[in-house]
Amino acid sequence: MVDLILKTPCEGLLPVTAGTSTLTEVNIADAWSIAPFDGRRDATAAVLKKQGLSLPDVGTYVENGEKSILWIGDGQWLVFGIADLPPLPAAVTNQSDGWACVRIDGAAIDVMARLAPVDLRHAEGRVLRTLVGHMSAIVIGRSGGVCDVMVMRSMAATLVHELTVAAKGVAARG
Amino acid sequence: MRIECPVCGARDLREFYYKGDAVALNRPDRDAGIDAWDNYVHLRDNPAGQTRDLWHHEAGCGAWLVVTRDTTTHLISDVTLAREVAR
Repeated sequence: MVDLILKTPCEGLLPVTAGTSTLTEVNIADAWSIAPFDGRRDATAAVLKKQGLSLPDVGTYVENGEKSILWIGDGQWLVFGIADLPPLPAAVTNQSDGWACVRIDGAAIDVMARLAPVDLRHAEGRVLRTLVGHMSAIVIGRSGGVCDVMVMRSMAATLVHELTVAAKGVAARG
Repeated sequence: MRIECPVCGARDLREFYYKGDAVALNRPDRDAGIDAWDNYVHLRDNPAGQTRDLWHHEAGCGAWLVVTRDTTTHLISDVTLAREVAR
C-alpha cells in the first residue's frame, strides 16, 4: 500500500510576515457544503440543531467549539468540524481538503482593500462572498480586525502571492 | 457601476456576469408556434432607454438577478431576484 502523506493546502507557503501583517494557515479538518432542497431549510436547520449549530443568516457565521457553519451563498452553507454529518434534506458535498484558508493578522483591512471590492472595516462576524484579485473567495471577518480568506485549494499559491504582495505594498506606504 | 444585490447589498460590477435580456424568464409553451419561438430565441430589442437584463452575482452569492437599467443614463431603477420574477 502506498503511504500517502497529508499536506495542507498552504504547506511550504506559510507563514509569511510582510510589514506589520502576518499570514498564517487555518487548517480545515472536515468541510461539507450543504444546500437545502426547496422548502426544506427549516428541516435542515432542525437536524443541525441537534449538532449544536444553527443555520446562520445571510452573510454571517455561527460557531460552537470546533464546529462552525458559514453562509457561503444564496441557499448554501459550509459546515466545518463534523466528521460524520447526519443525513440532511439537502444537497450535500464533502469538501474536506478542498479549501485553502489564510488568516491575516495586522493590517488585514488595508491589505484586503487592495485586493477585494468590499469594505471590511465593519466586517466583524460577517462572511462575504467576493473577489480577491480575480479569484472567487470567501472572506470572514474575525474580531480585532483579523480576516480569514478562503479560496479553492488549487488557488492556494496564488492567494498567498497576492496577499504577500499587497501586505508589502501596505507596509511600504508606511 | 454598482449593483444592489438583494442578498449581499451594493457590490462592485466586477462581481457580476451579464447574461442578456430577461426574456429568458418568459419561455413560450412548446406548441406556441414558430413566430413565438423565433422571437424568443433570436429577436431582441435594442432600446435607448429602459431595459430588463439578467445578471448573475457570479463572484458573490450566486443569485440570478433581474436588473432594470436605463441604457442612456446607466441608472439602475430596480433589482429583483430572478426566482421571484419567474414565480
